[in-house]
Amino acid sequence: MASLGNLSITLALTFAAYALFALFYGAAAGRREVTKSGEHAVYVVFFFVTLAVASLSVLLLRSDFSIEYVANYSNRDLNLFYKFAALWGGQEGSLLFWSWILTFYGAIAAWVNRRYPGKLVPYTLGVVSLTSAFFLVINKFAANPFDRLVMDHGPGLALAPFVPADGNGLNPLLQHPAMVIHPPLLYLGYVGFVVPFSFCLAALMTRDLGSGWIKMARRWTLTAWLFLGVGILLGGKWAYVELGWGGYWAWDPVENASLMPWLTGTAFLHSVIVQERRNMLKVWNVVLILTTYMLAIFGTFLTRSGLVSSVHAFAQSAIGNYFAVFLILMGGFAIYLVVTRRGYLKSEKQLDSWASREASFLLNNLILLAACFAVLWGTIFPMISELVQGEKITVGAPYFNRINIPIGLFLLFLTGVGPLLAWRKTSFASMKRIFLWPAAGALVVAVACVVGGIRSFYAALSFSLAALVTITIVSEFYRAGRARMRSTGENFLRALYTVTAINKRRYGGYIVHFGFVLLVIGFTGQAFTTEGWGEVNVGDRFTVGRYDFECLAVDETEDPNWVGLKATLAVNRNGRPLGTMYPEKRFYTASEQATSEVRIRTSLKEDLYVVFAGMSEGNSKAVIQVWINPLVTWVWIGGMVMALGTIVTILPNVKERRLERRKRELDRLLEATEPV
Amino acid sequence: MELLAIGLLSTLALAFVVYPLLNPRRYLYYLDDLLGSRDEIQLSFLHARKRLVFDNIKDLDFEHEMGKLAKDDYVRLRNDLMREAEEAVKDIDRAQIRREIDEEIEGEVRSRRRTK
Repeated sequence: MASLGNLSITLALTFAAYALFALFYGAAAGRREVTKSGEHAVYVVFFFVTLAVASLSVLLLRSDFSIEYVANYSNRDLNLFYKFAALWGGQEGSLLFWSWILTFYGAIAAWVNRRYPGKLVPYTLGVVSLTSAFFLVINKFAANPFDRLVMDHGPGLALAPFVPADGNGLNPLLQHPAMVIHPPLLYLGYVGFVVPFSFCLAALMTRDLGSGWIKMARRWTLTAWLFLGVGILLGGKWAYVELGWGGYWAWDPVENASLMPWLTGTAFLHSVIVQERRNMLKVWNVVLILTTYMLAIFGTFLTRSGLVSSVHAFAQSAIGNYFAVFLILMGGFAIYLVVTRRGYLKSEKQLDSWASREASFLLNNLILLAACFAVLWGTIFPMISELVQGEKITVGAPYFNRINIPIGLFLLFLTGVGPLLAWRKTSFASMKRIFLWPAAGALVVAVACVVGGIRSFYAALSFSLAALVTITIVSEFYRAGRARMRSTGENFLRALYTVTAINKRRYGGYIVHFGFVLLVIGFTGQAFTTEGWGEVNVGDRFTVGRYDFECLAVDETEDPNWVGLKATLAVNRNGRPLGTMYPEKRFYTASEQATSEVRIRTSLKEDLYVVFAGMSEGNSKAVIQVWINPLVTWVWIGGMVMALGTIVTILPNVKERRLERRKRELDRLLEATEPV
Repeated sequence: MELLAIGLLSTLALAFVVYPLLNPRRYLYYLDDLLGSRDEIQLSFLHARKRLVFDNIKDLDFEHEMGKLAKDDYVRLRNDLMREAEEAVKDIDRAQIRREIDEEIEGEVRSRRRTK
């Protein structure tokens, strides 16, 4: 099975190299049969990578410890579900998984665009194949998951195959359902940006820099953005329920590496609207998608190079050098294309006024790039300080929060204001008409915050802006439904549905914006977090905030994979009993790692978060840590609403579906009359 | 057994990849080359621009119906877009006339060559 896997990677790499040559040469020479052959090769590459992934999965499920990867990331007693998840639990397996998703996207791109008559698609597939070939080179030569385990028996003796009785097991932190799905979603996001990047590079190569490449790349970008966003959210959820430090975002370097392409991807998704409507910001759009791709590859480089220490990071390895070289070459080529094609990227229009929708999108680009740069600087600063001063200076949450909170709030402001402004120029009279109620609502909330005792400026501002944006979104839907109702006579709900169905991109976008509002409300709750702890024996009590805890028992527990202690705590709030909570401390025997099993009591208003931190000195008392986290549930709800809105924007409009049907009929006619 | 399977699969894969090269006339030329004249490319660009301006006018009308725009703003913006639409239509007419003239000239040249 390992030989099958190894050979599959070799064949995939060979066909990827051929695809790369055939697609670029065929397109340049105008020989469509050659590019068609290249397209077929793209499908074949996906087939062989799938075979390699299947082989590794079988080895993991069979617990074949003669393979080094299986011995490192699995063990006999591991649950079957987690044995399969070990596929992406380690460096080599996750890189193979990355290749699989990339070649899958390539195959889909080839299939969906198989009848496209121009040269944009073969160049696009050529760039995708180039990235695929790079990752397959890593799979084959630098991080091969099918390497056999060998033992050094001494000087003068050849290395001999070695099969341990059991494996090291999967990192216990990864043994959680959210963690199982988190890496695949992130990869679907990261890797998904390869396709719009490829469209962009193809447009630069063919000098076809109108809105055509943007229209073709739009749904790919949205899909990648959706998966990356959901992956980041799930990662936060996993960190919240598994790591036991009371929070969900630590500005960990690897977390930051996933956030950066999401930020620039967000800017791109908004900025392309301006190019489509006004033929402006062409350079911005090209630079944004190129940057998003480079940051996605950089994120992978960061996680796998060993340059950063993180709960997410893989062990240090030489593949960092491969990534560095690829980043430099690809980045250099992209910059060369942008510079030599700059004549084709000139805007056809100028900015007429700062009180315009174009201006709000431009500000949006600037603010998101500023946030991305701030995060990037904070992430790489430790490496730079070590290089320059010989000392690694870590950058913590205070730096990131100080910069990103005001940026995030300004972004929230733009979210409310931007859609209300007219294209080109909005007069004062129009602004008065559209901003009156949202501004009034924001003011009311601001006053309520002050009267209610909220002393944090940012928290009060956050709630006020949330009110402003919510009112603008509701008014957009209301006005649209009413306008449609007046012109067609439909009832309001029907009119609202039709308006959304006809323009899913716009109204799906408003749903995403509303999700963002909920997300920010959830983040704002962090300003009011209460923390406390108690050292308790059975029968002891302690209080944190409005909650009282009584320790009823501390018991030993075990499982084939771990041994542990479980605390039984009775919980009251304001004197009323709420029930019992059972936080645990576990020790995983195979990997020799300790974890905390957090217990959370969730409500829309706040979470009660309880951790069994361990035993005090002398093992006499149980140490229980408690956090009261207001509004945190709205982070998860906001994320889900954003995901739902994104799905709505991805769905085709009624008009698009009709156009697609007509296109398919035309294609069928063309096929029937094609020369043989 | 594994080697036999991979050998068979590789052969099938190679056949699949080579197949288009064996029958090149089955595939049409690229539109970019077949219709490679500057005029055709220019015409398709102008049509796209016209569609864009018409979409913008439709959106503007709807935003006015929604009550988002003051009357003066609406009139000013609509007039600007109508001027753009007029220019786009005129540019299309000019490009079409130029293409017709080019085709007539080419036709003349071809018929003279045949006569010779």
